[in-house]
Amino acid sequence: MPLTSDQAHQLAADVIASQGATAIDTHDAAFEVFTSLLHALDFVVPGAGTTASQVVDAITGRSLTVPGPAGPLVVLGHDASDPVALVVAATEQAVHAAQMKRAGQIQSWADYLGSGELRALRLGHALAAGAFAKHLLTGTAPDIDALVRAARTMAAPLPLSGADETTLGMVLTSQLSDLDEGERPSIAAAGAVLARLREIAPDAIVAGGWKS
Amino acid sequence: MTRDTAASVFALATPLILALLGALFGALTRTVSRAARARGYELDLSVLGRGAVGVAADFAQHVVADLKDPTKHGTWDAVAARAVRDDAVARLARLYPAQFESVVGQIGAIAARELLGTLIEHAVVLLKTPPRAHAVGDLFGETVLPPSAPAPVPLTISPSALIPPGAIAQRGHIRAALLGVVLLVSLAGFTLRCIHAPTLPPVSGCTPGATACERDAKMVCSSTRRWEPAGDEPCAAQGRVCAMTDAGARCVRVTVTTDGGTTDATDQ
Repeated sequence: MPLTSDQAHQLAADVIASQGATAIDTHDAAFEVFTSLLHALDFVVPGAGTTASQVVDAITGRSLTVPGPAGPLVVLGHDASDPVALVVAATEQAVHAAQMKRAGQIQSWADYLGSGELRALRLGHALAAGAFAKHLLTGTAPDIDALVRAARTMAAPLPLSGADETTLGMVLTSQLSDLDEGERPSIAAAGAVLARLREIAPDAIVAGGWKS
Repeated sequence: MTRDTAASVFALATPLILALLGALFGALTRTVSRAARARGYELDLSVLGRGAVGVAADFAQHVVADLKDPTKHGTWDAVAARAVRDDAVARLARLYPAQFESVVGQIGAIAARELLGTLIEHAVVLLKTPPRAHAVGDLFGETVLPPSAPAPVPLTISPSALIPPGAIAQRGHIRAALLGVVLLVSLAGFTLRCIHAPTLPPVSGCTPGATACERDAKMVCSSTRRWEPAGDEPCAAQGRVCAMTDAGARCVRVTVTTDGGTTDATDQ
């Protein structure tokens, strides 16, 4: 039985919360209030409204994790009509939230922005967990090359060098090559999505051997 | 201020900082652009002023002199004076096209021609003053006469008097731009104080692509020969143990055997 939209939202929120982060959906009213506040800045600082629009445009349609006053904030700009895409995006961002919690909210930015190797590792962990979630829900075997290409897009506008992509591929291979043998990625968010999925919607697990 | 406190403050202020940075950058760009345009306009006017002296001198020695000469064809009257003035303006615009276009861009074509006309008229006045009482530079308040020369007739025009208020008024905004730069630098400094360098592990000299187990966690050797964690939790989190297999480091199931009381880790 496919995952419903409500189940997907609950699963996404739970996985993100399990990593100490708070989820914000760009389709929620709260986010509308947030963007309205940004636009209202134009009355205080002329020109700020344009900048706010650019910021909102930049995050609309993509998910990202940003520092928050009470822990990382995960902004989900997913396709609301696709439960699998929502869960995959939430799982990936939950990994980034965990990285942020572990390294420190500012330090994690410094790592991501300042080192291609660390950027590749962070993306590798997130993509591995996301690919695992997708594997659970669709039964699709992860395609390492496709994931590396996805990482290239996710990293933009920051570059990933050839060496960085090689490192990324090593991480993905290490984490995803033994799914058929029951070894899930050694990533906390991957464990969380598996555990919550077993509780919320075990019938939605399509991949063999993972229902219990 | 601890790093977490700084992080919280930074996070709370992130939207405001982004908006302020954008607004400051925009204001700075506009101010610098306007100041550059005003300075360019000032220089263009200076060039046109000097050119006007030359054009006026040329017309005075040839066209006007001929018209005023009763032995030659034509007469010098109001119509002729107006025609000569228009010709002089046209020649000035033709000889200095870039500067003329700049002035047109600032104040429009009609006003630009009127401005050239005033420059020509002023040049004529300068030409009529005693030879050593003025110099070309006088047109824009500069004196090129030697110190011993008589004091020039005060027919100077300040460049600012010829520049539209909207253009020259941007000069005062340079201070605002400097303030913006100072604020940006201060903000960048504050941010850098909070941010540490990327936390890369030391280079170990491992073979890129190799895997290993370290504290029950899978590690991969990166392209820069550093041992990096392949995940973010140990194998024990899934009831397994990290072990080296033919395929490299893996989280394998633990099989407890009772023979001799040993614990064995096997793949599967």
